Parts: sequence; structure tokens; C-alpha cells
Amino acid sequence: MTWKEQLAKDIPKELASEIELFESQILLRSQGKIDEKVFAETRLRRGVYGQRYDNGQRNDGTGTKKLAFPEDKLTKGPDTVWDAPGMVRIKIPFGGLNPNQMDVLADLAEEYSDEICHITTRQDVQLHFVHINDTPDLMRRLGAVGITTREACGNTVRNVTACPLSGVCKDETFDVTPYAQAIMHFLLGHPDTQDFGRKFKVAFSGCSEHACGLVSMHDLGLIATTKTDNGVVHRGFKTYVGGGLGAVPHQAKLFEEFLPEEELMPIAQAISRVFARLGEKKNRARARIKFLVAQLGIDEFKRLVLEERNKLNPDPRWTDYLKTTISYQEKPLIVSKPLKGNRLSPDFTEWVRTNVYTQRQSDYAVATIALPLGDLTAHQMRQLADISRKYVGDTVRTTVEQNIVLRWVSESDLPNLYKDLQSSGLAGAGAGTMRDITACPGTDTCKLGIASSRGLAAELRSNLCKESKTIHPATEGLRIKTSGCFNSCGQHHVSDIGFYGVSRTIDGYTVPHFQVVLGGQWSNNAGSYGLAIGAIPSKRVPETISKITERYISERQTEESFQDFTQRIGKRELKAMLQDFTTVPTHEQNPEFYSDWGDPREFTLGDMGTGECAGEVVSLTEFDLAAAEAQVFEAQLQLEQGDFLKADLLAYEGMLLAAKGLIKTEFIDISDDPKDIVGEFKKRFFDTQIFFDKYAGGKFAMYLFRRHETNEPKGTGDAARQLVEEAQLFLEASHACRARLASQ
Amino acid sequence: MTENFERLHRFGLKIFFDPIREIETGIFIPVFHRWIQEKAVETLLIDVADYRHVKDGPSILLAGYEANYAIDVSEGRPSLCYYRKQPCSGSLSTKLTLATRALLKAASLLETDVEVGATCKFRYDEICFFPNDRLVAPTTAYTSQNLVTELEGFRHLLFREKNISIDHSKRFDTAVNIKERIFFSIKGESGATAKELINNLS
Repeated sequence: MTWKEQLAKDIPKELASEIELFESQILLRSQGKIDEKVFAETRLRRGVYGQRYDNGQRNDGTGTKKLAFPEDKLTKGPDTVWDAPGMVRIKIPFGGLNPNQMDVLADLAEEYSDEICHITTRQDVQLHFVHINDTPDLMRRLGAVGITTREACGNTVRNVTACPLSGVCKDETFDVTPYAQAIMHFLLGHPDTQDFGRKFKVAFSGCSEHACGLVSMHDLGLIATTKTDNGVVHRGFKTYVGGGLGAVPHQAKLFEEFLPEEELMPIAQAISRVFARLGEKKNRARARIKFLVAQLGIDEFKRLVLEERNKLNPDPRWTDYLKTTISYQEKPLIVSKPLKGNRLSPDFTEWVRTNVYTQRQSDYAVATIALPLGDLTAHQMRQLADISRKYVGDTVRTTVEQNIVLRWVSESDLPNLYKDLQSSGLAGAGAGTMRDITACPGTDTCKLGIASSRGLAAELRSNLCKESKTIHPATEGLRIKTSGCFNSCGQHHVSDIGFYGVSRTIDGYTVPHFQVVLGGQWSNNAGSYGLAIGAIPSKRVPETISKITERYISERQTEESFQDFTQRIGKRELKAMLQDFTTVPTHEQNPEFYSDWGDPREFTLGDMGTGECAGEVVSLTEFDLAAAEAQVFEAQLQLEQGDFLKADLLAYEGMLLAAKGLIKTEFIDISDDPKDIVGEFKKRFFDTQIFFDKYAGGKFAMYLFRRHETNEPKGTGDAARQLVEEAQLFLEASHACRARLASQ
Repeated sequence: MTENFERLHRFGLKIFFDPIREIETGIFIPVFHRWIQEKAVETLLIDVADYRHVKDGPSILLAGYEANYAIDVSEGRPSLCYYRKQPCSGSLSTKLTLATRALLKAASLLETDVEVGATCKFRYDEICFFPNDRLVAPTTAYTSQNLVTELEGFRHLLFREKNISIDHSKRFDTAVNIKERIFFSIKGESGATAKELINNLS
């Protein structure tokens, strides 16, 4: 028995086929039959990501050394050794989880990873040190509980995030959950989202004032809003485009003050088409939509999008889901009762103060599980699943602050919930406070990491937890976020005190540093970005925080926010204040400055690699040809197993896929209907002789036409074998045709 | 059944610190980095991960290609843990023998390490085994009973003693949670050393 067999009935058919295709592609790549760049983008689109040292090299503290992986010649992408274990990113749309899914995540962390589940700053779950050969089964087990890794990485629409309080928030205009869910389904695998030059991130927020959705830093950000016409309330979204952090952060531009809900999908589709058509494809550093919006200007960008919108053929999916959005509401597991407040322990009271949010629904609360660095063990995840079953059912969500929330807790259950969380080591107080530090993976696992953002965050967290009882109320609510490099996966731009990893060379040594970023705004949906004021040696960051916060405490004016304070005293003064911390003792005086937090090796930049935030830009045609390869390969397997009808069908589908890929060089909107594909292929490639081989002419195209006209395949071994061979020749001719087109 | 467990290549082994006490696991970070540098074990080691911030887990992980090692602090019993990940041929007993030798050699290396050896001692009268594959060895009574049978031969090989026992995990025996893995405690008489056990397995 295999997982494939065991879960056959539990996985949606389409997803099962996709995973099978990916498994075939893994096999083909291992045989060198798929180009490494194509395979890299293919696996990224399945959420299978590279990890630090997957170039087969690592600095062990004495120099860069080769890691002797068994298959050191085979790659799974440029400079990415096949055998190097990697990361799998698991998409959790709007962070929504149920206990069964949590159980499976725990199982997968134990069996394929390192027993740790990591929650990301975009509500995903990541598992590290996973071998590529294990990924198809991992995906099947996720698929059986309704989770996909598809398009979790690569140049695609990434996880759709949403405020974790959606539906229970006291301030929201309406619950954005069903919209987030619908747009995730609509854009996932949509033909118009497959040809981007870079990733595309969507976020929803229920209100403008609070931070949870962070729409201003997203490619497409949507804030719930309503409009009343003749006494009728209409739902819609204040719509932003072109936001993003990274090396060059951009605040999103207002695209539409009120986008009616029925226009959400078509406008998202039209934006995707404009991005795919006009977005940068060659220079990755300028390929996000923010650059396109900046280049065109928001007015021209909007004009192009609306023009594209008017060309779209109506799609029932644009509005079908709206039938249930008004009535959508999570069902609480338990009838609520108020919390009776006698003899509550100080620890519990403190936990309630920082980790519990009172829902707008009477006597219900949201409890936040504050996860250190976004991590929990597999065992804790499983225990949390059981706790969720007991108190809230299916209403669990991950957050962009790398925590997990349990929604719909009856307030009367809070003391018992707290006890259960305590016994699982999950009852730490301080959610949303200075102690609750966000950190991207940094040098721990990311190839782009310069300095150890997690090491720094762990150190700061440990210090702040020890001092938790003496933290001044004015600074308790400050947010600290750390990134390993300027790309801002730790969201340092939108923190009060942010850090990102850099390096400085001192007396011939490379010294880990962090740029200090002050004055970012987490509230107002990431309303403004902080600015870097200077680099501090890593080992001096804790002192720096003390200096900054002490000055804020002593010099702030009444009710002055930290952001206002930093603006008032000015960048020059802030920089001068930190000047004393910039000095680095010599290596002889204090060698500790020359290694990073949690890593005794002498610091080096030698371990950095090429990031896989998105892979190479691979054309749709190349994807289709790669998929066709896998399909024809699968046909061969079926032939060997004696299932001739299936072999015949797969070979035919392989030819159709290859033909479709070629058609996309001229006509991107080609449908999946075999009749359309064959018709368009004939018109564009056969009648024009573009497909013709120098010697064989149109012979290979005839293989497709002949099979297409066959209503009932013979089902014999000979006939199936012939078709599989013909399909292989058709595929070769398609590759040759593609090469001819590319060279023109 | 035996044939089925031949497919079991994902499993873990643990050996416990002696005495059982809270340990400062951070001291193992430089040691594990040095192991990578010196290629201290036979299999390929890749990186060290610091998980001291999570409760009851692999506090310090030494990630490898074929297997991971960890200083594990689960259930208040700090241990050196070995997680086999990659397939290898042979019977379960063969795989167990190879894995246990790797674990014991690692324990021995730690005990003689210049940095941590003085404070690092393990007890060799108990080795904990757990399958880590819910397809091949799900947490069922059937798996439990049949794995005990499989482990019989191995325990004799390891301890060469008569008065030894195999306990199923408390978690499973009390039927608290069938979602957890089954833990088998393979116990011998006290007094054995790592070297003796390695010799027994040679």
C-alpha cells in the first residue's frame, strides 16, 4: 500500500492528477529529461523551495567546503543539488485551519521534516529539511484534508491573506473571509495568472484603521467598505494596487475608492492580464507589479485594466460565490457564557490582558497562541488540534505575526483553555507586544539571508521575556520585526523598531550588522514605512533597543506615539543617538562580534546563494511542453502495466498539451477543449507550415489529427504502443518548432 | 509482517542523559558545528538548527542527509535522538543495528568531547525506538504487537542479556492518543557502556 493508493478516494481528482504529474516530472528530471530551469519553476509552483546550502557548499567556519551529497551532479534548478533537503511552503488561505489539517501538518513535520511547524509572515506553514522525493506523498496527505501547496512559491499568485479577526472583529465593515476564499480559488491555476514575471500577493482587511490585513504593502489590497444607494447597502472594496516591501518598498496606490463586490474577480483577472502582458520579465529586481504601476502611473494603469476588463468574457465564477457571502458565518462549537471573574490567577489575568480579544459576538473571545519565532513542535501542533476540537472546532487561523488564533472561545472556557495551553507549553503571554517578535528565516535556512534574523529575534525575545514585568507600558506595545536581508520578509518596514541584516568589513573581517529601521506604521493597514538610520553590529542590537526605548520613555510628549516621537526628533538625531553603538572591538579584543547570534562560526557571506523567491521566468509554452513530456511518460508507464486505453488517452492528452503550448505563443486564451486546440493548432501551425519539419513535413501533426478524429480507440497493445511512439515524435517536433520560433 | 517492516526506513532512536536533569542545550551548538567541520560521523551532516525557543522538542537539531540528530528535551527526559530519513536496504533488524551504532557512536563522541564531555553522560540501559512512518507503521495494536516481535531479536543482539524488556510507549498503552507515534523502550541491565553495546552490534 502507498499513500497514493490509501488516499485515492480522499483527494480531489484534479489535485491528484496534478500531484501525479509533478511526481512524473520529478522522475523525468532525475533522468535529465527536463531542463533544470523549467523544473525549478515547476517545483516552485508546487511550493517546493530551495534551502541554504542546496548549492552543495557550506562554510564550516574554516572555509567553504563541498557537501558530499550522493547525487552531486544532478540538479533540481540552477546551482541546486538534487539531494539537498529543502523547504516546502504550504498555503493556508486567509490562515484558516481546522483540527484535522493541524493533525496532518504535525504528522508531516515529524515524518518528512524536523518536527517543527513554522508559521510565516503570510499565514503559510513551512516545513524545512524535506527531501524532494518525499514531496508528492506530502502533497497527497495535505490534499486529502483540503490543503494545496500549489502556487505557494514561484511567479504566481501567492497565498491570499486576510485579517485573522475577520468575522469576529468589532470594527470591521463586513467579514472578508468568503471573498478571500473565493479569490484564492478563482486565481489558483487561472490561465491569466500563469505568465507573471514575479510573484503577486493579495490581502484583505475588514477595516481601514487597524493593521491586520496590511493591504498597503500588497500587490493587490482590498479593504471592506459599503455604499448605500436609495437605502440599499452594497458591499465593495477600497482597492489598492502596487504595494510591496522588499529592497524598494512601495505604498500601494488607490485604484478604486469603491469596487463593487461583483467586480472583484473580473478586476483581479484584468489586473493579472495587464501584469502578465506589460510587467517586466527579464529583470527580476524590477518585475513586481509595483514597478509597473510606478512606471505607468496609477491613472494609466487603471485605464489599461478597465480596458482589459471590458474585453473579458463573462465567467460565472465572478459572481456565483456571492450568493452565500451575506449569510457566511462560522458556527461556534460551544454556546457562549460570560467569564466569572473570581479567584483568577495573576498569570491567567496577564495572559487574558495580552492574548485575548473580545469578539463582537457576545461572550466570545479570540485567544492568541503566541509562538516564539513562529515555531511550534509537531507534538504541540497535535495537542493544539485537540484543544481546538475541545473549545472551538474548525475556527483556527494563522496570523501574519506568526501566531495562531483560536476564535469563538466561550469566555467561560478561557480559564480551562489557558490550563490546557499551559500543559502544552503554548500559554505564553505577550501576544502583540514588544516580546512577540516577528522574524523571517534569515541565515537559518534562506539562501538570501545575510545575518541571523531568527538568532537576533530569539536573543531579544529571551531578554524581553526576562524583563517582562518591568517593561514600561509606553513601550510594551511596540512591534519589533527582524529580516535577514533587505527583502523584508520579516516586515521590518512596518514595525516600530525594525532590523534587517547587512554586513560590514572591519580590519579584513566581515562583521554581521543590522540596519535599524525606525518609525514604520503597523496600524492603518501598514500605513507608512520606516526608514533605515544606520547599521549596528549584531551583538550590539540589544543595547540599541534599550537606548531607543529609554529615550522614548523619558522624552515622549503626552500620548505621543513612537512613530510621532521618531519623526519629531528627526533622523539626524536618531542616528547620532546610535553612533556609540556602531563601534566594533577588534577581533583580538572580542571575537564574539565576528560571529552571529546562535552560530559560533566566524561570520561569512560565503553561504549566500541565488534566491528562489521566484524562479526563472519560464514561458507558458515551456510549461506545457514539460507537462506534455510527463503525460507521455505516464502513458509509457500505463503501456507497460497493460492499461492500453489509459495509455492511449494519456498519449493523446500529451499531444494536446504540447499543441496548446505552441498555440500560446500566439493566442494565450486558448481553451482546454480538444476541439479548439486541434482547430487552432491546424490553423496557426499546420496550415501555415510553421510546425513542418524540414524533412518530414507535416507528418507529426497528422499523428495528433488522426487520434483526435478517432472516437473509439482500439484499446489493443499494438495500437496504444504506436500512439505512445507517435506522441513522443509529436513532442519532439513541438520542441523543435518552439526552438525555431525562439530563434526568430 | 516482517516483509512490511522492511519498508520501514523512517524511524527514531533515543538515548537518555544520565542523570535526568534540565540541561543547557546551547552548549551543543558549537559541538555540532565542529562535527560538520570534522566530518565526525559517517553520514553527511548539513547544518545546525537552534530550536531552544520551543518547548519539549528537538532543542538543537543537527540536520543531515541520511539522518538527523537532535538534543531532544521532550517529556522532561533530555536525550540524544537519531532520526533515520533515507531508505537503506536490509531487514528492520539490519537497519536498527546500523542506526543504533550511529546513535551510540554519537553519544560516545559527546561524552569524550573536549567542550561538553565533562557534563555529558548517557545511560546505556535503555534505548527508545519509535517508527516514524504512519503508512508502514501506524499507531495500532497490530503494529505494536508485531514490532515487539521484530524487536525481540534486536534487543538480544544489543544487550546480550536475559533479563531485559521492551515496553510500549505510555502514550499508546494508555490509549491517550493514537495519533502519536508508538515508542518502545528497549531496556537492559545497567552497567553497559557505549563501547560494549557497539561491540555487541558489530
